[in-house]
Amino acid sequence: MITIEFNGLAQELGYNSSLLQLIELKNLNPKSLALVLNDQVVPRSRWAQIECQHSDKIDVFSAVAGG
Amino acid sequence: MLSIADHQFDSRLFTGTGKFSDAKTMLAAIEASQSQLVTLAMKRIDHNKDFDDLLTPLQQMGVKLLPNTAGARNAKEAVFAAELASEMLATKWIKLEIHPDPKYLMPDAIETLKAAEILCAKGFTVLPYVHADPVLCYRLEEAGCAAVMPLGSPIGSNQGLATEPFLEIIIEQANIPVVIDAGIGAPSQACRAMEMGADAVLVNTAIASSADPVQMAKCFNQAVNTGRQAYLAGLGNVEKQAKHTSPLTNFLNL
Repeated sequence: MITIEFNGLAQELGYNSSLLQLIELKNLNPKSLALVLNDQVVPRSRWAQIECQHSDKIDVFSAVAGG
Repeated sequence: MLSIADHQFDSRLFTGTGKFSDAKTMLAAIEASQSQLVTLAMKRIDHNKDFDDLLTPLQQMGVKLLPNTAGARNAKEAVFAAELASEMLATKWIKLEIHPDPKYLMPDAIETLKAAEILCAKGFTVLPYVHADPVLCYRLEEAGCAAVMPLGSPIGSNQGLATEPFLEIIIEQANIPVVIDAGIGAPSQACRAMEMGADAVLVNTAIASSADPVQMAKCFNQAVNTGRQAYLAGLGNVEKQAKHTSPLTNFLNL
């Protein structure tokens, strides 16, 4: 197991988990999100290829109401 | 028809999605407003709240989405927010807003210009929210912004067009669309902005905080259309002295 930081909270993950698998694990709809890995925005097209590493900091954003 | 960058809009009323009591009311109000450009913000997903999908119903409605950079305190954060929005919504359109002061939410002119230069160079369609500063608006136009969005009064204040004389200068000088944003609190104020020759207005709080947001959205739509028609028809001159509209027949001297 590895531990990552997901939106500020510790999250345990199996080895070789991709960013897409993490999103699925969290029951989030990948179509309406943006993902930031260690302060870099990662294009959706690469989520399936990138494996989470121990201590990664991952933040997921969604659209909310605003003016 | 209003053109911004490569996009045409039938409606000159842009709306925000904030502050509505619930999503159903917000969607009904946007529909009633006939707005075709709708703003959104972005947030880190909250672990303790159900994920509320705002996007799907807006996309189904067919409106164009304009994500904002609210929360950015400087140019670097705003550029990051724009990239986030671009990835999330597959759009290069961005409402650039940088307001580090939470009390009055006054836009930071220097950071906004810096961010606009970077984002325009990266190919974004940038609509910056700014103070009603004609010189700054000119500089943003030079930087390649698609429109400027000067404020009427502080965000969400419903104080109306406190900056009217400066908005008039901006409208006179700009070669890109001028969208009056922030502070418009009543349909009459939106109408006035359009009579002055603004290309569009962005209204959020005045609709969302009405007791009947759907009806208020309709009223804003009518007011914006009326103001635009009046501008096109041409307002009469304002005179200091009275000028009679009827022949002054001397009945008493017969």
